[in-house]
Amino acid sequence: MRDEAEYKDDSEAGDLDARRCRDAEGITTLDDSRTAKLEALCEAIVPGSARVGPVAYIDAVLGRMPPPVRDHAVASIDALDPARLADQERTPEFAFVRALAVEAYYSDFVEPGRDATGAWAEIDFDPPAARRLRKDWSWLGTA
Amino acid sequence: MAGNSVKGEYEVVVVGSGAGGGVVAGELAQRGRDVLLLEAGPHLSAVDFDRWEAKANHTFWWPLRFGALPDGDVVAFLAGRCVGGTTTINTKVALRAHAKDVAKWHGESGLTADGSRPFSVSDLEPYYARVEERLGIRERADWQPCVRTIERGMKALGHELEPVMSYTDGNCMHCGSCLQGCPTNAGKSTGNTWIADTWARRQLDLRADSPVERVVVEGGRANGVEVGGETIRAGTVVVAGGALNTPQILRRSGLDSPAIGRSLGLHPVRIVYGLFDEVQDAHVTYPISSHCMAYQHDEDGGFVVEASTIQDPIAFATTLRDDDGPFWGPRLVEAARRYRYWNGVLAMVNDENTASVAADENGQERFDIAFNERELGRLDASLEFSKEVLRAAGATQLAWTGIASTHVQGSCRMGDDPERSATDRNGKVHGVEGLYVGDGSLIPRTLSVNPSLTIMALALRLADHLAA
Repeated sequence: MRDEAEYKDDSEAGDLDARRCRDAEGITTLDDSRTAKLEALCEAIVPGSARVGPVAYIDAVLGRMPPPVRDHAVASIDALDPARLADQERTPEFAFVRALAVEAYYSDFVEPGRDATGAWAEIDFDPPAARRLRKDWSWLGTA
Repeated sequence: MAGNSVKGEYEVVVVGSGAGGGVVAGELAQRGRDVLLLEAGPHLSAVDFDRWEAKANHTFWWPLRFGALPDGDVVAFLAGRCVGGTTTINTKVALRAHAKDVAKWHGESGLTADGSRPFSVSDLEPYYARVEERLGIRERADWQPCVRTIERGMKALGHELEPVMSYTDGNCMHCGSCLQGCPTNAGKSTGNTWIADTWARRQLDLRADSPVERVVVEGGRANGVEVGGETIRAGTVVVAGGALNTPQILRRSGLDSPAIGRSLGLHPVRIVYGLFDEVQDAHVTYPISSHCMAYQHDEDGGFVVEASTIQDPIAFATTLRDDDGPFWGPRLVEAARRYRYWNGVLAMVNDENTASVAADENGQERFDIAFNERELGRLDASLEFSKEVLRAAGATQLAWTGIASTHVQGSCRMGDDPERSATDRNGKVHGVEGLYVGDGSLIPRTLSVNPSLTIMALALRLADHLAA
């Protein structure tokens, strides 16, 4: 079991990387304040995930969503407070953002330009069919 | 994949290519009928199927849909959106409906076999036999060690785990990729059987990536469909978009029968996970090779437990919860790091078609779900039994998913009573000539087993009717 300090270390390192990549690549759906808030939410929901740039993944997914669903996602981000998630963990808004944050990380996504290992190595998800994959994320619009 | 050129008029247009539409279209085309099959999603083949969950979810699964529950929780609806429909991404379990399940249908909608006697399972048996022959079904007793773990728990509780029947052939490599499409074609979808065979021979016209807006109904008769801004004329239209989409298409077509969209059955399911000290690798196996049928019937409990599976990383991590709530933070990360040590069973519950699907004033789909006390009791009992099995097998930690639905049925059910059914006993929409429903929407009362074999059997029955 890792202690809280280890998670915090991952988080801080990830945040710095995220800022660099965002500046380079651009976020198309979220504004700056929502981007920063979503970074904090992702890191609280999946500690250590910031290193892969989950917000870039979520931003791309939001861009593919029908407008009503995207509006709901943004409203859900707005409704959450990263410092009070324990009080909000059974709300539909938390469920929505949690699903996005978890998908972003456990998809094995690594934001282009980052030197990071994805989640599959961390959880030892390595079946033969996945091992043969050469992941081209262009279908998501982030390549 | 390239499609055929599409004409402006056909003898039959089939909307949706899953377990229902794929069979109807392929059967009619094979018998020389002039058929166009329309599918909302892409046309893919085994070469497109790899073990990439995120890409599959976003490219050939139906975008995730949720129905709100009164307690604030949700039901997640999962389905395929590609040629072959959900049969492309399901686990290929091939079970006939039990006689007790089919016996409920007459009471639900007045369904008879021929106008005189109640419809019974014997009316389906010839069609089951033909579907099973076509798909080459076989028993899956080739259990991996993760299934033996669950068997150990079952035996400790005095229950047997039995092999399922399945429409997978000997090319199955136990790779566990079923939900991302079978990469070896061992899994038989309607896409790689009825559709591929007739499409390759130019007997069937197929247009993928073509969601249908509505059926053209004029003067009490279906005359075609509107798709992509154009109208394609047809003497007969078969709507087979699945039990969530078919009623919405019929509503958009101007049909106002209150039976359309009502009586939606969810066959609700949870996966219950147990963490073990030994590696389980329940993600590298044929996902559903066994089941416990001890509680199948309502009077015995009303649920079936299947084994063994865990979902791929996104679905696994997204759905983890226990009595303390959804997993997140360090608790989630630690659980996910033990991914290979988790094993799971799938608990499917008999419901009573108490949900409905409709569109709101903005055209957005809306689900109304309020399980009754009996349904809630079965959901609780199935969860508790699954936990007991996993504990008895040696699990040191338990978690489970929320409620999902992959087996929607009954939203346009067939029957002899127009007040309680959307179609007649042959699937023809009441009051509209030339318009048929050809999917799981027809099933008047939810089955206690995986419904795809029954949907295919009903589709074959419809094809026979239309070809006659």
